[in-house]
Amino acid sequence: MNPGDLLLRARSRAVWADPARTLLTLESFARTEADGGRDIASAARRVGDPELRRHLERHAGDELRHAALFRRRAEELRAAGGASMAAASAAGTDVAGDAAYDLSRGRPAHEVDTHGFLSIGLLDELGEVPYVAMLHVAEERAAKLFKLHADLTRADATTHGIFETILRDEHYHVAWTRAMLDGWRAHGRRDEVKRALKDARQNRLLGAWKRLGVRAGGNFGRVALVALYCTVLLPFGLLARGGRDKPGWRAPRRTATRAGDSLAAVRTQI
Amino acid sequence: MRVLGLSAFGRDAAAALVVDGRVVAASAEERFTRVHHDPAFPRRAARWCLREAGLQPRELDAVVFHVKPLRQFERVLACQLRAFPRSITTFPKSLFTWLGDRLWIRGRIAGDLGVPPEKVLFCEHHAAHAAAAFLPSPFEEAAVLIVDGAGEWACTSLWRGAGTTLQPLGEVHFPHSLSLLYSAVTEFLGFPPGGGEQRVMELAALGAPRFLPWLTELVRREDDGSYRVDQKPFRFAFDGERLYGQALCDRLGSPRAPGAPLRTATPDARDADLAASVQRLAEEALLHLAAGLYKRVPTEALCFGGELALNPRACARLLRDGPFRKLFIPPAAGDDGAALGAALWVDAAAAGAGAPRERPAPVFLGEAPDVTELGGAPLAGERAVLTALLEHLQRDGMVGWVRGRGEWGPRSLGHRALLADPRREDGRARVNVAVKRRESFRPFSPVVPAERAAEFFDLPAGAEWPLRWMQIAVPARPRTREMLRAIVHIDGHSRPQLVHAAEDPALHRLLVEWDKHSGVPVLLHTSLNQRGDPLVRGAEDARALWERSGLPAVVVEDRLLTREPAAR
Repeated sequence: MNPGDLLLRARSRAVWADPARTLLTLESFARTEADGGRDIASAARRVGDPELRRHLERHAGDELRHAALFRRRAEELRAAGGASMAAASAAGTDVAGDAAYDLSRGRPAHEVDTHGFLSIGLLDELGEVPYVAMLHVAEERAAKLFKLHADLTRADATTHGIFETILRDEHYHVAWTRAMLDGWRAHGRRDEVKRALKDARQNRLLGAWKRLGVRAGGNFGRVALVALYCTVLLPFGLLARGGRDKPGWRAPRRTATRAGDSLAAVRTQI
Repeated sequence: MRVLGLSAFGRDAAAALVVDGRVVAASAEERFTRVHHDPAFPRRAARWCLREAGLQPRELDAVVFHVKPLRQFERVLACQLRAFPRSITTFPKSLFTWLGDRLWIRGRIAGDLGVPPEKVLFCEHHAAHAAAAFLPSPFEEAAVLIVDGAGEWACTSLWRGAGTTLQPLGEVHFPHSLSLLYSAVTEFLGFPPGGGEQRVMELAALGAPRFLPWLTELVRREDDGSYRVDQKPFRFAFDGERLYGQALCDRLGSPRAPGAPLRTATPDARDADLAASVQRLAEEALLHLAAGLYKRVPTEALCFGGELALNPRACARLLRDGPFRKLFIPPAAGDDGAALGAALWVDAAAAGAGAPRERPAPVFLGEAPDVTELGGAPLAGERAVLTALLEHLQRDGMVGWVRGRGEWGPRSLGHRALLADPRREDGRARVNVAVKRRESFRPFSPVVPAERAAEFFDLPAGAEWPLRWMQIAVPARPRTREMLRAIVHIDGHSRPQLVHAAEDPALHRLLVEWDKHSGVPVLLHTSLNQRGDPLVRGAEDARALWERSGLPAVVVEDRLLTREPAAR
């Protein structure tokens, strides 16, 4: 097992041990699967090949079913464990902003789109082969991740059962995408398939690298701003503490809308 | 003049295009990104507006942003410093966002849309709200009240509107924000601020306002018509992520975790009681503001905008107990509406006082569905569409209906609608199980022909426009409470949409036909979406919703999606 996998396992174990993060993880999975289902269903309506359409339709149905399973389990846990969520909130644990909870992609929920890198309508942009290649790469990764989560949730039979069910579907997803790619290879599109798989893997790596860069830059920036706050801004902060906001009506700074006179006012940002 | 208005980074990003005083297109970004209340830069909505009008970005005369960013930044910085040292964790977050993106908004707009930077203008946030509330209103003269979270500094502002002129009268500055106080309590009750406020309002019907005396102490009403908000229990002055502070928990106990069971019944009805208290507080503060405004602008009409104008119970109270006799609320009263307001403000300023205006502006300004995405054979004419809708209402008890341009604002007004039989005892539960998945305490609204509405609801005078757009809650008549329980809230109120035959003949005809079948010209009407999703955008979205929900059928223009082909 490489260091990355070890790190992911350790982080995942911590998440499943924490009820609040477990719940948010399940909700995050539900969102991601639902997005995936919607995107793949949209793709299914656009492809011409009936066999590919059939696979995509089944795949989309699986994703939406997975979303429902995750959502239902999250609702069950939320109903059963509201107190622990309240405790987490009261303790100031910013569970909603915890980027670690999104185990499937290692990204905060607001950044996650279908399978970590797809977006609605991408099939039109890319064409069938790159789309299926991307699905294949994503599903290989998803199967690996869901196996890990299945292993780590053995203590919770219901959640474990969900992962086992989903894992079976993921194997089918990997298999059908591979079969399609093999079929295209056999019909003289070997180079196209090879390039598409390479691009998909590279895009995934590039995406991870970019995210790492953004996070590193962000963290460095925040540290610098905290340092600024504690040094340069400290005297100003101490002075401002004494200042009080004035309630009551204030005279507005602007002028009324009349021909010409307020157009000058809208040119400035202040 | 061709002006594109934009709002972003607040609660609902949007774009709106005004050409020579006429609103040509407007849409929230969420309809395109499918992220509910999406605050991101409205690139997709802006491009769609231009496409809809057949314009290239270079043909625009101006692009107007809904806020003055540098003045807003000044407020953020000042409030962070005032909160020293409690702001040590929020300062880097705020600054990071501002330094990374928002301060460079002129360049972002110019680069993203491909317009010269000198064409990018900035309207004050409350001016944008005031323009959105007054300029498209049917009134030639009106008092204008804006109660919003926070723009640059203003949280509440008063205006006098006449013709196409808006005169500012006064403003209450941040952090004295009624809207943010309501949002803080919303967050305390476990609902998302900036979206969950309506749920608090609906929850209020289940409780008694036993916390009102304490909350009233927090919002001191001044003799000059203004107010001040005690900041001790709140953090919204410097923290955009956690709006309430420890003092609120000390007074009210632990906050409700999102999704945890609501405490609504004795012996512990704390959540419902708190909701009832903050709702009553907001209503009384609004009445106080309206009374002060009336002294300055003694006219019969009031235009009301900003986040608090999205509260139908407060709006009803304002009309019932306030000094103004007529009320107008823009269909998009929140930050999405500020995009349109910013464009209207600049257009009015450029056009001059005598320029003609479209009053009231249309409400269906969004994208129309493209049925070619659905394929299949069309239904044979309007009659067949009506028959299909009636069949499914009778047989399944509900049907989705998508037609024409999308609604401007957060509410479905019949073009992206889920309609259901309101007579069924289990009507509300069925709609929830099949599609909406809302909390069980939340009511659904009715739609009724305007000329028949008084038979079912106690309609206030002066509410002609709010009743068209489901903006006020009104008492249901005893017969309605008895017969149509699915559309009456526990407090006996409903939020009806009145349909005029001349304005929406198709929906009006459906209601008339439904009356022949069922004996009531009323349907349960709710937005066609699932919990947490924005309103469906077009044919593709409608189909996706139909596929993943238990909705038996949806009619998209002249196409029918049904689970039972034989039904056709």
